[in-house]
Amino acid sequence: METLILRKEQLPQFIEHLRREYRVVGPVKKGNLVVFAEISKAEDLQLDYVTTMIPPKKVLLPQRETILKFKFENETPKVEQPAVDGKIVLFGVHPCDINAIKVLDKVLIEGEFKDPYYAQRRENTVIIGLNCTKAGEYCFCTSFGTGPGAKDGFDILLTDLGDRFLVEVGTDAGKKIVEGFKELSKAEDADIAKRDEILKKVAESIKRRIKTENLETLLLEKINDKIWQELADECLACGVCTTVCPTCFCYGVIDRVSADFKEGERIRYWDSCMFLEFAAVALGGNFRPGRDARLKHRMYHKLVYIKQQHGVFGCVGCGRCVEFCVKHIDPVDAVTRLSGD
Amino acid sequence: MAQVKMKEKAKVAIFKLSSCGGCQLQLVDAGEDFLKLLDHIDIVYFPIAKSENLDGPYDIVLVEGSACSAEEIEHLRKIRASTKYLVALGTCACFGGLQSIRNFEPTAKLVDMVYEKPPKSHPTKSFGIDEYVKVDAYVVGCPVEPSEVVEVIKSLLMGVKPRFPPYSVCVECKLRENECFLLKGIPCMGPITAGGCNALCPSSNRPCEGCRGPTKDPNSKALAKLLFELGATNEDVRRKFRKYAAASMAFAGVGV
Ligand code: SF4
Ligand code: SF4
Ligand code: SF4
Repeated sequence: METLILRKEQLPQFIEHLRREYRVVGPVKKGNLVVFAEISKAEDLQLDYVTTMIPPKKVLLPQRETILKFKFENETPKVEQPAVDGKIVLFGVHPCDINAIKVLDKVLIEGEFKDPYYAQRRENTVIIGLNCTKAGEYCFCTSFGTGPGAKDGFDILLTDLGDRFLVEVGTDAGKKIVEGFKELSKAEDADIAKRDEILKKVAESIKRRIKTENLETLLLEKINDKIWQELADECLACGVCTTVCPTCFCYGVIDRVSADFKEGERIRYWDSCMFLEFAAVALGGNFRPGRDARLKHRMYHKLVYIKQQHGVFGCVGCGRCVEFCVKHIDPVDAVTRLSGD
Repeated sequence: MAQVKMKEKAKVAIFKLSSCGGCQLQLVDAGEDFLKLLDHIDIVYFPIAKSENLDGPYDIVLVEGSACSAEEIEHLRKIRASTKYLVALGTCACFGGLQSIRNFEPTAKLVDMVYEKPPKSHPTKSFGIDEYVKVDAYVVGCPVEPSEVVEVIKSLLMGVKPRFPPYSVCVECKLRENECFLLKGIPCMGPITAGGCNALCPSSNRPCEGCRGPTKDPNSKALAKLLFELGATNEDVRRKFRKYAAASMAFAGVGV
């Protein structure tokens, strides 16, 4: 892999370079939060952020998306596929979120059924990652090897070395971008050593941990543990945890017809297994009527079922579901208690 | 499916029980989509908006407000008998509304407090109208979102079940990328309040007051516990939960 150096004062030009071909979406400040939004210049970026509340997933799998439009002419409806937005650079994506996109790719593209809407957006998206130089209070990416440094899943990866960025190229698309920007210089061994030193420090600062050895066996053994009811007594079933999770991909689909009944659209929106209606079926049945069953399902899906189905953990340890849950319901804490440590 | 064809225009009536009238006013303000619907419905009874009003039978009746006296209960039953579909319009009709704070004191005592002379009507407690009659669809909100009223009418015309967001106000609040009040220690009803308002209040820097009533599976006890942890008194918690939907099963028992 090629490694280069981008000096910080070159960043504005680099963003300009990207914007010639792409819309650039990166972390920007909103009040006390940082959110992913389209930027027009480098100064908009807030690159020292820890974690956004809503993950960059919102670009690839929008919360609300029209997947087809229909129009009634004569007796048969005319169906039309809305165009997917153009080429995007996701800039400054942290390793946990890069790995979360890898999970989404596994499920939505590489699985048995390909999600054409996601796949098309993914195709049009370049990921410029950003290794972490500090960790948040709730981070536990080291448990899954999904941070604080990214190993793959990016087109280009940056590490902030103080006055400059180390630039690693991961794919041909990334290569094309850096080749088009002649101002980059070659990285020295010392730069790479500095990256490793920073990442080691960040990794050491992360104290929260889920033990992943035998996790599946442990959880399947404890499926009827009283902890689930205890957590369900606290859980508000508000659905924040799944809304902020970078790997949650479940959606609902609804048809909306216009008020003159002449046309309509099919919309999909993020759904949540924390809601009562999620597992409801016809004739009033519901597979998970209890909050305990729903909360357990959420954690088991991340830690057991996605692994069984797709070979990777469905959790990347970003900590969002803990940080933004008003009850701070915490998979790390749950697993720690279950394992008796 | 071929295009939906309505043989005749559906007869729609809008009735008012005890309420402020705000939900009906939303209809007047509902804009283009509501006007488009007028190709398919005739609003034959709508006293606050028109002078000529017809008796039933109707196809669709929207009832705003809750029945708060023996007379209103009787009136509500007659309304039900006059229509094919009955829609509860707004949080009063769905969950008893503001006026259901009366449910926690003996009615006779409250009548004494409020009226100088004994009233002509016979006041009762305030419940959602489904306490007395069968309701076919609910539109929550204080006031209702016009788009949701349009959605319900469209659904009834097409003969399908109206579908509303399954999520809480918090989900919409997160999607609008607001800072969370509760996480800052400020009481908010968002986690257990039905979404669909697009988190109007939290997005205008005001905590959610719960005007849309409870979600499908609200854990009121757990939210009350959190409010106590934030320093709320029993009285504060009661007031929060009783503000709009005191007659709902989920909120009635909180902080008692
Ligand atoms: S965010 Fe917390 S309270 Fe809300 S549904 Fe998730 S676990 Fe429950
Ligand atoms: S389950 Fe929680 S910690 Fe894991 S990826 Fe989702 S939000 Fe992050
Ligand atoms: S401010 Fe209120 S509505 Fe918004 S996320 Fe927090 S608790 Fe939920």
